[in-house]
Amino acid sequence: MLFRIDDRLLHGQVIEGWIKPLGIRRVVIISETLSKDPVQPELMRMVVPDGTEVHLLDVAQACERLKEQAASGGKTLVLAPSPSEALELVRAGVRLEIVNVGGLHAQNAAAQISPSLSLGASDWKTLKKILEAGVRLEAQPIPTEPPMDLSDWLAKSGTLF
Amino acid sequence: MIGIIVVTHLEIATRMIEAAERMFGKQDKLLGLDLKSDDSLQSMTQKIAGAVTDCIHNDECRDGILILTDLFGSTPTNASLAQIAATRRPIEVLTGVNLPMLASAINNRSRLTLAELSAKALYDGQKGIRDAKSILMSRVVAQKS
Repeated sequence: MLFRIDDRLLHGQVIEGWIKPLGIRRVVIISETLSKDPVQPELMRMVVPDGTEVHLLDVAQACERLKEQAASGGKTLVLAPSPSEALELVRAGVRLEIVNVGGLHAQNAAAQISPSLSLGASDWKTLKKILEAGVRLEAQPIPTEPPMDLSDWLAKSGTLF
Repeated sequence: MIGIIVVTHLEIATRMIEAAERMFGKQDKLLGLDLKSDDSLQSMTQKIAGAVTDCIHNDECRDGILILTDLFGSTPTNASLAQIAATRRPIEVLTGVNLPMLASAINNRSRLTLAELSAKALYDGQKGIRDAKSILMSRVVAQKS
């Protein structure tokens, strides 16, 4: 199971960069608001390659379902719009070894790691908590670029927030 | 008038409009929106909503708005489709924008309804994708024989 934090959720980079080349067969999107949106759920199902399942779950449902799946591996991509969903999952006992921090675009960002990673104070704090729970955090926009371990950066960047 | 908004990754939209305006001259109610690396789905949706509202303000786009995006499934398209639920104004969204599609939209917008223009631009955009070498070769072969 691949776990990615990306506030654009299912978009070009994820579909062309991850889902197609890695042959992802199941996408799980964790969001409290998405399932209430009139357009987005259908859109998310429409844009994936044929035969790929898309599941929209709220955090509670995701905690329940991913506990079993996390261990089983398989070609599943889990997308969350912010670090807070990831932290809730970890606290609920979902075993995540690596969390890919793919895209965060804070409006009043205090720090920018890369063009697609701008963090506000609350995201920074949440990522720090995920790290402290023993999860490896990697910034990696697409699989063909090397992942960057965020632990050093998080350790040093506290003064920015 | 039908407004045209081109929404793409990076500066494809503004550059494509620049190219089109070299051919057709400066255009009214033709706007390019670029998705920058630091844009979120939310900020892009707001940008497009702003452009749609601007176009509707003064009643200049009373005949509707045609949005042309680059890639199906990408943030420019996702954010454009979000407008359909957000406004009651007639909006059409086409993906895979290329210069033939944009040229067709510009050329035909004063004489067609929004639905007709959308169909025409889609057709012309698809027709503009050709295997140029094989067309040339088949003509050369035909001339020789």
